[in-house]
Amino acid sequence: MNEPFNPAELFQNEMISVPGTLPILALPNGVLFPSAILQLAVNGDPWVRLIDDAALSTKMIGVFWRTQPGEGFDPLALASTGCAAQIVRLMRMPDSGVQLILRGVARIRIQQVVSDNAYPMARIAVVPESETISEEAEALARTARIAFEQLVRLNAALPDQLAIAAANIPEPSILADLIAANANLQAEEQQRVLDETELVARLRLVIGYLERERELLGIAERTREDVAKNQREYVLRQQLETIRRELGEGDERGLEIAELRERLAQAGLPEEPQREAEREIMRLERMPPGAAEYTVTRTYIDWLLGLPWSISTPDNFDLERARAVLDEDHYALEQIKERIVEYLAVRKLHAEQGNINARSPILCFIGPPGVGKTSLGQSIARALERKFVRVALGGIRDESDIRGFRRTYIGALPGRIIQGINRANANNPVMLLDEIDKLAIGIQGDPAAALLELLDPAQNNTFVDRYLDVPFDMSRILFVCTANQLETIPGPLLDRMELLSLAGYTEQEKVQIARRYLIPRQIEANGLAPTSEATAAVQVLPETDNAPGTASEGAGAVVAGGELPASNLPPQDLVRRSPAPDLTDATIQRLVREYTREAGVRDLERRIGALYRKMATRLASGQPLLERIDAPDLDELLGPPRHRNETFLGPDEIGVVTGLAWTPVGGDVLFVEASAVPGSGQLILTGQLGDVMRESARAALTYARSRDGALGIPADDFQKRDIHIHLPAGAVPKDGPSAGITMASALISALTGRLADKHVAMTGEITLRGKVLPIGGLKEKLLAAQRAGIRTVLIPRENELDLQDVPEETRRQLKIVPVDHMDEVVPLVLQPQAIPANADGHLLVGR
Amino acid sequence: MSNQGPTIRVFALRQPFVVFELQSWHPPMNMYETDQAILLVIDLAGVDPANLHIHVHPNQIAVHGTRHLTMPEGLQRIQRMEIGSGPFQLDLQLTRLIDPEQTQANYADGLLEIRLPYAAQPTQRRVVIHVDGGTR
Repeated sequence: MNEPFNPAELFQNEMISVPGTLPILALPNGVLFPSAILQLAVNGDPWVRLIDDAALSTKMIGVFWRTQPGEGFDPLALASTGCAAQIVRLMRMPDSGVQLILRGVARIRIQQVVSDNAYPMARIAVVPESETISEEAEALARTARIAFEQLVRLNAALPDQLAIAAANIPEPSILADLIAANANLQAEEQQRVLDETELVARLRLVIGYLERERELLGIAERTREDVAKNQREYVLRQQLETIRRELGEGDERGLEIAELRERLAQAGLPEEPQREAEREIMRLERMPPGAAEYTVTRTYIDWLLGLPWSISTPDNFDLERARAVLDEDHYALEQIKERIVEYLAVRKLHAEQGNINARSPILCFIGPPGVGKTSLGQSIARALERKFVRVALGGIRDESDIRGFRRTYIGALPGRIIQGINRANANNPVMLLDEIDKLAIGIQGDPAAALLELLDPAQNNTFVDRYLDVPFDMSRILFVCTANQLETIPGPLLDRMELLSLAGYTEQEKVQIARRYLIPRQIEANGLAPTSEATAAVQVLPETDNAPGTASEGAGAVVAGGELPASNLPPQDLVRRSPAPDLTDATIQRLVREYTREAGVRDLERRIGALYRKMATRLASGQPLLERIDAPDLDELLGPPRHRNETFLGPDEIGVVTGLAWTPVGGDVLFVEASAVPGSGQLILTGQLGDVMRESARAALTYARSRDGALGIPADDFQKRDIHIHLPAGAVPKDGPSAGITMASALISALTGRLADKHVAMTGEITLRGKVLPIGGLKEKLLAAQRAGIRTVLIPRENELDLQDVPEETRRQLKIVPVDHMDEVVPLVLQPQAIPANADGHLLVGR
Repeated sequence: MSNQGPTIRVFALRQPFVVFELQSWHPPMNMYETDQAILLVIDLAGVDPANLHIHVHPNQIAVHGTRHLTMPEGLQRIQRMEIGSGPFQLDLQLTRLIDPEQTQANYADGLLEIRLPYAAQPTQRRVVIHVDGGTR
């Protein structure tokens, strides 16, 4: 008898019993749980009768949630599980209704409805609660209790007594019901808890609901904070408005609108944009300033009013001046300058005849990088005295980049064209569409299609940007495009443009360009004083005291008159005034030849920049400057040459012939290697050759076989040997027929064992009969040959006419031999006597 | 309101919250501490003392029983019903140790009085007390 007793055990035998048949009360809006107290009022006939009868007999009724709304009693509308309830208190009201307090007793289920009464009755079965409580149920009950206590703490709507009530309920089943009844659940969810007779499952269900409620509470908390912030902002704005009015500052928005109207009046918009702008300003006026759309509309109006609808710059038609400007900015490029002057002349005539709507041609500069395509555009603008805008098209893959996004999108902006015009602030700028060959087609529409409309003189006077949504007249713009290659420019676009090709510069031109433009620019960029005749001769002596070695008397006077002794001046104050050393022509030539290999002058400028950086470093660290930089100094300043012509070409070999190629970045020199090795007469082609080139190689081989006698190749040689033709660099794809005679020469060299002269380069297509057919890109190829130090170039006779495009200097330096037939080629490139094959049967011969 | 037809109106389902009661009624009770004993006075009008059971433990006491309310003859309907009836149970934890052997209970005028003298020596005994008096 030592253990504490459990009162519940004593109480067991006095449990309230539930009768087998009960009157059924349908609750319209809730669920009654066992042990829960429910206070309700009942009015009207069947229900008051039901309560009266129950109070007189067992004091017990069945309570079910009516899941669907409606009048009268419908057993189908009742929830499947209900609760037997004891009438604890009852009080009749003056209006004959009854107020009562019920207490739930046990879960019940209807077994059969007994319908021969004034009110519904049913035979019911009590759902027994689990008699034993598993450890799992205990643990879950603990979890549920803790979670519920947290929820009560967090949710202000739940009174704190609930936590105490939950703590005082020892039985997990009743605890689950208490939580379900109080945790803000929907009636359906409460009913689900009532339906769940298994204790563990019921606890899990309740814990799930608790977690969700806790989550929701967090969200509600955050939402409340947001709303509070917005309201606060609104109130503050209203107060601000009131304060403004009190101070007599008037309404800021009214001023803003008035200002917009003023701008509209001055902008001189065409009719359609004018209407659109007026409408938008009116919309803006009616809009509350806090509206999200306010800024959108405001930005749109700003764009509309900011565009240069009626601002244009007057053209300067002084042809001589234009020519002078072009000459000043660019060396050589005669053809192009002439074309630009022609354009100006036509414009001038049109202007004199009052023909404003004359179409502008669209010029397209094609050429390798660094030849000055972009800066030519700038020069045109300068010559015409027009504004200049550059629109970079490289990598644009989206039509809306050109044409803009509709205003409905967040962050929408006009396309690059309109943006460019806005930047230029004139409706007739020179617009440079840079890198038009680098347009990409993305999934968002083809940007080239948008350019088509822009570049068509017949329709670009009504170009509609999606953002503006009103047409803008583009016909007065002078469009200039640049591209590295024709092949990737979309066909219809190419069709609209007038092509001007810039092949690259000769050595002499490069020297001139360097002297006139690159050197002054780099001196400036590196913070050096410009060279001049007067200063070049003066030696800089930063080491000596009191003798600032500058040529400028004025500068010296400043130092002498200063408070500080001149010797205390930091050396850079002295040296900053010292002139930068000049480059001799020989130096520039050596830079061009041995330190760069390019069609343009970009790399050359970099090298010159490197030289002057070295000079700047010396100056800044107080070392004496060179008086001038001579050709031999380059080895010390820039390191050993990167491209030495001799090493580039190398010694003559059997089976290696120099060819010329055209690439988007200028002409290039390439070597065709051929080898004849013992085998079965196969032709092996390597080096990423395209189909045209492979076929060209086959034609070359067949030609060689057909001429075996004349060339001194034993006839059965072709059956006994495999011929391998390779074009380095092996990773770069190559194609085209123009290496035909080169490949033929290489394989004849390999088969006959005659050395091929590497200083003889060639280009030309070959036919089976050995005829040499014309090729393209002659000028680039010849320039490349000159750069590489080639002495003789063989070209197809039919290309002779193209030679007039080739600079004089190039023609002079190269021995250009037009050929008709392969028979003429062989003696020019191959040495007469054959060298016998070595022991391995290889015919490649070193020194 | 009778012209509105039958209605069921639920009051305050959650105001302030749904109360759970483990029993249908609790008898009201006073509890005193004197210099000698703890004194319990429990309002148990209408309960036959013969139906009362008192269990005493050195620091715990339980009282349980049943109130049967007899209905009048020829009853037509109930106008008001506030007196709880049916089984009830009281469980109390005591703040001081008492001597179960010395416990006395007396029922008079509808009140049950239980006298629980403080324990001289701590003891573990548990006894069932007989109620004296108790004529209705």
